[in-house]
Amino acid sequence: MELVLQCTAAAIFSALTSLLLKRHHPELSFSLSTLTLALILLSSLRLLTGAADFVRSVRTSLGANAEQLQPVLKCLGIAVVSRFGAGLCRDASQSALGAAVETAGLLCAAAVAMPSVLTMVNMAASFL
Amino acid sequence: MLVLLLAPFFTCRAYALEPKDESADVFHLESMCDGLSGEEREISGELSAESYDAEGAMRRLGEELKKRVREEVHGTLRFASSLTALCFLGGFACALCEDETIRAFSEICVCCAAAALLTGSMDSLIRQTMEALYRLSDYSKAALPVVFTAAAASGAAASAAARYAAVSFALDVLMSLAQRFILPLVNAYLALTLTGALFPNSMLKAAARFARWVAGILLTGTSLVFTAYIGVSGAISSAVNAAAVKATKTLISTALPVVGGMISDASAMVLSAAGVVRSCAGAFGLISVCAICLGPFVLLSVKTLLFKAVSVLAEAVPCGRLSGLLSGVSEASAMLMGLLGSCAVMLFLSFSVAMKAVTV
Repeated sequence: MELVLQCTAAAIFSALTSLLLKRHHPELSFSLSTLTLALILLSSLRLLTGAADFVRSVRTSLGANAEQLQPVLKCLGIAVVSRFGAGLCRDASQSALGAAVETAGLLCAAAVAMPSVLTMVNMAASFL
Repeated sequence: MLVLLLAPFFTCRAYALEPKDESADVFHLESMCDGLSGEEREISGELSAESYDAEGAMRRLGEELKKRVREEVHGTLRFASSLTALCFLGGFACALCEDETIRAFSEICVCCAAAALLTGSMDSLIRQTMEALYRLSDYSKAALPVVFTAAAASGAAASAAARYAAVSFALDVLMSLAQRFILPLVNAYLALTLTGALFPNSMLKAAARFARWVAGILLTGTSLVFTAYIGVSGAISSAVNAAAVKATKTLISTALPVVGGMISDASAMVLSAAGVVRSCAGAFGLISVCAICLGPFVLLSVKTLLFKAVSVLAEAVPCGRLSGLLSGVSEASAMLMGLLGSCAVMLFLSFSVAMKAVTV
């Protein structure tokens, strides 16, 4: 709860300051929002230990099939990174760059998921 | 005259042969136990021509059922926990993905992980069901002739032969249908479900529904036809039995003066002894069928319940593909359970038909 309040406060402060800076120093405004984003993400990283423990336990319970979790986690990472990257580019009024980041994220996710698709197709074929 | 006078001095004792003593060999009762594994034999108990402890066998069957259910639930809990954790992880991943396409890829990866987990389990379920079907088929070929022979010896000469022919033909057809059509249809349904989880579209869904429908119709249809066929063939021939036995008794007792009545009574005793063998063998057969199906049936029931429960849970997380996959797998498992159950019930009916083949 504390963390959410801190993050929200930091985000609102950063947004207001960025708005003030945007007219005369757009580069500073962009840098400030990027910095705030990084700070918020870093501060919420400590909450990831719980999630990491959960993932570890799932991996343990999956046993021999634990490697199947790798693509899921990779897709998750790709989704988060491409979402923030594209958002930052749009903040800097670079919609095309944002779209490019999204497309790159999409292609990466497809590349990660493709072996899984093949595995599933093989599984389906094994039943026939 | 001299010979007649001396004859009383050369007499020896004559014993009547106990009809039950040799009936175990005559009816080849041991062949009913041959197809059973050690554990199943232990549950079914000892089969003799005189008696069979059906109550004890039922008690052992109940105890084994409890033990198996406990073991299976215990073994499946770990699997259930990993599947549930995977569901939550999938929901978490899907919730974090804002972009629809990346979300779809995440769902595919989650589905693949779930499918990898489920495939081993389904493979084992299909293998065990198939094995149980083959064993039921083999057991029916070994046990039914014994019970029907005993039924024929106990006075149902006409109906036992007709019913055995009907039952063995119908059972053969049913088992072949189950092994050659229904099991492949269940496999096809599973394959379509997996593919449908990958590429959700109405055509794949319709094809999966069609495979399930055809399997259901085949199963229901063959069960109905089997029951009707046995009923009709039995109705035609059972009336002949009583008349034939009565006619034979009357013929013996009237045609042979003095000893006719005694021979007729002795023949009635032989018939009743054969009736005891028939009842014992029939009850043993029924318990054996239960013992053969017990393991796979418990496994299928526990797994089906688990899959259903996890698929309901998966409905709660925002991962549509995963819940579709889990519900499809639970359906396939239920189909396997239905298949094994109906084959066992048909064999049950066959034994019951043999046991009730004569009502003199």
